Amino acid sequence: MTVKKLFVSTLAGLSLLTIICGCGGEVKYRRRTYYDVMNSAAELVAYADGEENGFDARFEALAEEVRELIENLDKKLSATEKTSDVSRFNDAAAGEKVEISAETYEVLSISENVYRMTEGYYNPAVYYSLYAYGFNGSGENFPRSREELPEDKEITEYVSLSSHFGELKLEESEGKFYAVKPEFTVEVGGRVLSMKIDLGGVAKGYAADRVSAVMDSRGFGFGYFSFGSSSIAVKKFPADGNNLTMKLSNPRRRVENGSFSDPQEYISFPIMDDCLSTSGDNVNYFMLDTDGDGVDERLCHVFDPFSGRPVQSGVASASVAGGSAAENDALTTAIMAMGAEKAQKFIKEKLSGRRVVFTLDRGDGLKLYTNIDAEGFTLTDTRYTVCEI
Amino acid sequence: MSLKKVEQVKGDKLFRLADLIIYGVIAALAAALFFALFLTRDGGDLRGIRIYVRDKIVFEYDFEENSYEIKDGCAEITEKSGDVLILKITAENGYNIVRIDGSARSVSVTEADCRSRDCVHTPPIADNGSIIYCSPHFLLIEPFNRTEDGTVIM
Repeated sequence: MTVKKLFVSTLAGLSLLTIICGCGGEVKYRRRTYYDVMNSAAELVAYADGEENGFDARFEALAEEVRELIENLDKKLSATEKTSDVSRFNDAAAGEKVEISAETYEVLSISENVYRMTEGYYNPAVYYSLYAYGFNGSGENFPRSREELPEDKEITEYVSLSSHFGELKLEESEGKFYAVKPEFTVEVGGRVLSMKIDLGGVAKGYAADRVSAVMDSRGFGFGYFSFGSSSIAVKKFPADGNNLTMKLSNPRRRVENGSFSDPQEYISFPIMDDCLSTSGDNVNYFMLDTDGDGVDERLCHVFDPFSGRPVQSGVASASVAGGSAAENDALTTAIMAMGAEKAQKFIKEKLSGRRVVFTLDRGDGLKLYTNIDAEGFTLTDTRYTVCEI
Repeated sequence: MSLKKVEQVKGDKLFRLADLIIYGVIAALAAALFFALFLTRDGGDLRGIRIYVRDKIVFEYDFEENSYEIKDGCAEITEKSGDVLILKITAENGYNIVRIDGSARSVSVTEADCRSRDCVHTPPIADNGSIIYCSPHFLLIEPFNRTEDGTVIM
């Protein structure tokens, strides 16, 4: 190569590098709005693909439709809203047929499917156990001592009741939708209890799926809708080959001298036109010495339907991408309840088309299990040992 | 190529004047692009912050103007000393104490009455690429020109 060619090539390379580095990974024009619904914060973000006229007005219209949609879903799916479909179902007598909305019918159908697919590890009928442990508020109802924990006998009855979730019947007739409550009841403290459900483990994912469809119908191909730390529907990013970078929150982030000493996330990977849901024991939990050994245990909002208690499997978090956010939402709950060994088998057999990550903390070092190829993700907290599923 | 031509090329000057002018123009363009794209990016100095509670703006601080605006009664100035402002944000279910340093152009949460206190442990905002979020109180502190790099955290 002549000196002249070398000079020209170097100059051209430097120019190209300048342009690539300058343009990549950043976009300036976007709109963002927040919602407070389903006891959680939701965030809608849309990016303009270049200078787009009328983007602000289009976004305002989108934001308003999304607000109406998710508030409406909350009114139907909330277990605390007295007139919701779920509350009316919960208040109904055993065996009663309750008219429900099309949305509640769809969410219950998804719940039933995942209940069967996971052989009961996802079960929305753990309502009584959840409430017995105080997961029906902002933490003010959590037990503050061992004496305040629910009794074994009581929990056994709740487990027995929830195990009949598969008997719930869904019916559709002349454009109307119904849920028929199982006949089975239990008696606790002199009261006869029929089945109650809490769709919190799937409702946010369902909302994310619905918002994703609204974004599509209004032509928003760039952005995302995130529901708290639960579910996200991701579109494209107008840079970096259209991928966004998904970072999963570190469930074992330590605090030293008043500041976090570990990275905020433990893994990152590219994502585009996909849905992801996640569950973790670092969100909505309390610490209590439940067995009197002087060591506090972490009691989180994710319940094991077979023990009727907060999961103690060692799985600290689980995330699933691919498929619908609603299904993924329920699947992450099930994976946490299954524990590491059963979860690996389940993922291999039933979730091969999805990207799954879960973390394990059994006190013998942090582990990260995933079916994502090694080239497909970046480990950002090196305390985790990566285990391939 | 004939031997004569090869000899002619070898005898040429390495750079003719016209070549140098063209290369100079390309180099100048590359330099201009570099300055335009790098020096005007928003990852730099923090120009100001907005504080949201739920999805409502309750307070704004403009570092360029060294001024602030209380947008809602839940935000209250509790102390002002030189360029440092201490602010109490009272949400429905708790409070956060926010420290704004006008000369250092940084914002941090120094106290909160929630259990996790994640916001207190989060590093101060000092550029346009970071935020502080308190999920129990739905409180978000965000730069005016928050940088978008396509990262989502779940």
